[in-house]
Amino acid sequence: MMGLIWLCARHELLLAARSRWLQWFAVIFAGLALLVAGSGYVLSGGYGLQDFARTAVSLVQLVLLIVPLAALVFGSLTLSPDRGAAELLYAQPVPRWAILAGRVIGLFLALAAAELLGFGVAGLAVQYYSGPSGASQFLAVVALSLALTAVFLAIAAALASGEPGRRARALAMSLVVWFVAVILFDLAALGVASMLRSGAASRVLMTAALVNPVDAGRTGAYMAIEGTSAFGAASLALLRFAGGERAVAALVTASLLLWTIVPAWVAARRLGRTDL
Amino acid sequence: MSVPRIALATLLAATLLPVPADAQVGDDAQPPSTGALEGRPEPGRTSPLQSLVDAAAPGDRIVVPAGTYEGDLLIDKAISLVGDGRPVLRGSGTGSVVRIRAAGATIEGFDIDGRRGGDLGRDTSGVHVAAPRATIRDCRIRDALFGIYLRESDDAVLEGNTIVGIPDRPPGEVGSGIHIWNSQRYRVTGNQIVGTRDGMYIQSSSHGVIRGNRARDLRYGLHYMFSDDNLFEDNSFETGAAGAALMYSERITFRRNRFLRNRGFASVGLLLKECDDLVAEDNLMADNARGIFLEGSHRNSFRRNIVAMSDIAVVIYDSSRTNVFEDNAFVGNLSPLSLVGRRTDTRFAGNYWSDHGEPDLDGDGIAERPYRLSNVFDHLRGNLTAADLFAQGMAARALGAAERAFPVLDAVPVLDERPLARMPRLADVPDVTPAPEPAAEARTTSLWPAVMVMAGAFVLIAGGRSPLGRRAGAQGGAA
Amino acid sequence: MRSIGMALLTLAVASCAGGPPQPVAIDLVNDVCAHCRMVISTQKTAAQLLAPGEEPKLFDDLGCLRSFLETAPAPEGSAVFVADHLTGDWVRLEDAVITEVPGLQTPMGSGLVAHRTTADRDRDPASRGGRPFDKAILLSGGRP
Repeated sequence: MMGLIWLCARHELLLAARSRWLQWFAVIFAGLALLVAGSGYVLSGGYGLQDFARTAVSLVQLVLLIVPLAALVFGSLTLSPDRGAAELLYAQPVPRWAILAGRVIGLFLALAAAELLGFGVAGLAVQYYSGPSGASQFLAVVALSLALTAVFLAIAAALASGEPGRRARALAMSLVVWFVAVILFDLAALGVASMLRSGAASRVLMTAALVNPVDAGRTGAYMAIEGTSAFGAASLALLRFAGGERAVAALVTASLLLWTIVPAWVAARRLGRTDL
Repeated sequence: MSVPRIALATLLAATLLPVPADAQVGDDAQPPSTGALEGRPEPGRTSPLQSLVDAAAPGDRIVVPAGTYEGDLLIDKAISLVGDGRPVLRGSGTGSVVRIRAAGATIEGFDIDGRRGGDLGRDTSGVHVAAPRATIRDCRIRDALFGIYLRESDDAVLEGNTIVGIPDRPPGEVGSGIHIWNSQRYRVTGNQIVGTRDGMYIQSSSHGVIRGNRARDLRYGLHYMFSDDNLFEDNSFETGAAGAALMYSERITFRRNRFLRNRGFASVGLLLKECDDLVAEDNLMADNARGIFLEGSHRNSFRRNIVAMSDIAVVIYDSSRTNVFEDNAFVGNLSPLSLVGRRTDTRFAGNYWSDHGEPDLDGDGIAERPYRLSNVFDHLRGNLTAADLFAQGMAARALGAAERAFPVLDAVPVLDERPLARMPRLADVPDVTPAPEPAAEARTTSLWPAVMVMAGAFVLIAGGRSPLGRRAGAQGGAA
Repeated sequence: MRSIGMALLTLAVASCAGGPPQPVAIDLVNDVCAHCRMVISTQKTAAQLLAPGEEPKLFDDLGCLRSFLETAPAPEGSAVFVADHLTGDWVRLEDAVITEVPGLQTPMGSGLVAHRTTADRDRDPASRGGRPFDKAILLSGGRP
């Protein structure tokens, strides 16, 4: 079974590596990462302060915006079981979930490789200008990026699996999900919080910061990069709410894991039921 | 009159002299709450130098040769005690090492070791002063609860001392580097303070000059209340867990000071709570969690300062009135303003804002459009701490953008009507002091970017050249 | 869309956690007095105000609690805890003994200390020379 999943993964990786989409994504991501790293350097250059933390934080912003979008678009376009190829593929005497798992893993490898390439280029540029610094901060950004890739590929798979032959619909839905995850959810949380009394409001916001995978990723990455005081007094409230630094890390990890496992499970179920 | 140098042997012999019967002035039985002054040290805890002091006449200059002198010392005469070759005064570990109780006394050129002992409630210090016109110069004080303590001691001079706190002891169990309480007209210049609870603690002490000091790696670099008309010039307050905080005071002047790298949960470069008529000019406030904080503070003016790399440049409570920010440069801050309450009459004019990005078409150095400091999100975060968790999220940015499109959202905007188009030259603002050495891990792991590039390239290239290629190619490319 | 609903439901549940007000532990490096904005250096003179539905407000000096209540009276149903000056344990203000000790150096100089019982007060050398202080004045912010 593992061999089979791996075969599907290799196959998907091959297709992805050769696709113009991924090549463009790799180039654009590297370009943006380079730009962010460069402007971070220019900003801090005059003072020699916050060199790497500020660059890493800017990279986090980029990752939070671009990575979910790429994973959702790429995933929903690729994983939507279109009539024809998919029919043939899923007609094999192999459980459908295994094929899906293989394909998702292949896509993940392709996107992860493109992201690593981008971070690597940006990292080389930063080192060239300001010397080696903050490797652990840099790795935190990379980890965030890989985690969000997994989360939103799983969500894309869940969206696409139920829509055989309706790629456009899967794509539209994944764009909605992206918009909700990146902006709308936070706006709603802030709106709700602004109407509550301070105790309830801060519980709503702290829960929201851990529930939404994009927020959980941001919270975790900032605390990893800037230290536990990254959000000032709000950090202290969060640490108290969660029960300490390790608890925050555990909750962030749990949130990201759940957002990967649950949609993946939903995708497998939906694909199993779909009439191809 | 000058006493000739005294041989070490004589000094040691002096410890054997009988101690006068009235030695027990500092009675330990007194409750600490009344702040009983430590007086003459107990026999057995007395420094061998005590007999010299006791034998001296007011106005004498006593030169102490190099060596280690164990025990505490009471200076109750207007003498100068001068160390030659940095003699070490090693305290008893139970009280203040040097206790100055007579007007006009001087102590200079000693290394003073508090031996981590004593009692916060009794203000145990390296040098404890309770007399006017004391001078403490060129002393190095370590392992004392308080470094130098001025208690009701007017006209003191503290010059060129170095105070190093007790490592690994929680802030609740140590005192400040320089503690000034109810003492007027002091001069504190060129002192270095590291690792104490607060660098300088100043309470109810006015008309002082604080110049060229550096306090770092502590809680508050400056902790200050009920003190008026003080002048701060060329000081550095760095890497504090809390920064610099001033309360309930008036007419303070800050020129060319540095407030740097104060990055704790509650850190502020310069916090003012109910402080009026302060003038801050040509200061550098950089890499602080929050740059400047104003609550209940009126008529303060900030000119030609650089406020850089803060999470929030300025926090203003609406209880603050008629404050002015002119000709400052705000560089690389994540947000310019957090407004607590509903509105502010703070005046911002002619400042440079690095994130403004508006052109200067007529070349007069002023950007063509005003700079807006406030937005709906900042109102929200000002009144709800947890909103800071979302300050760097897209939602906060979207709110900011929406507001530029629909100004009605922010009914009472805070504007700089004539923002500078270019970073001004602020020649008097001090430079950043060098950062601490980067961690050793940086050098060993500098291969990571190269490894990432290679790994990414390998996966993509190897994946694209899979032996499966011919078979897969027949199915046609996805996406 | 279902996931958003679930998320909001979780939020709603999380925000309803409640019960009788319990004092929160003070972090002596990072917690800040809600009135004077100073980091709270010692538990011994601290106080906290727990208003229903609000974040706890911490104070480094009973004088700061008094000044705070002067400008913003405590809402109905609030609980006030004060730290025992001997032990640092939290005591409800109703049960505590408050003493004003002239000249005692508390963080903001109010000279006010709290104890669990009068016996504790008498055992505490810090309260020597002090006089009993009316709790009502503390709560009303000093107004008659």
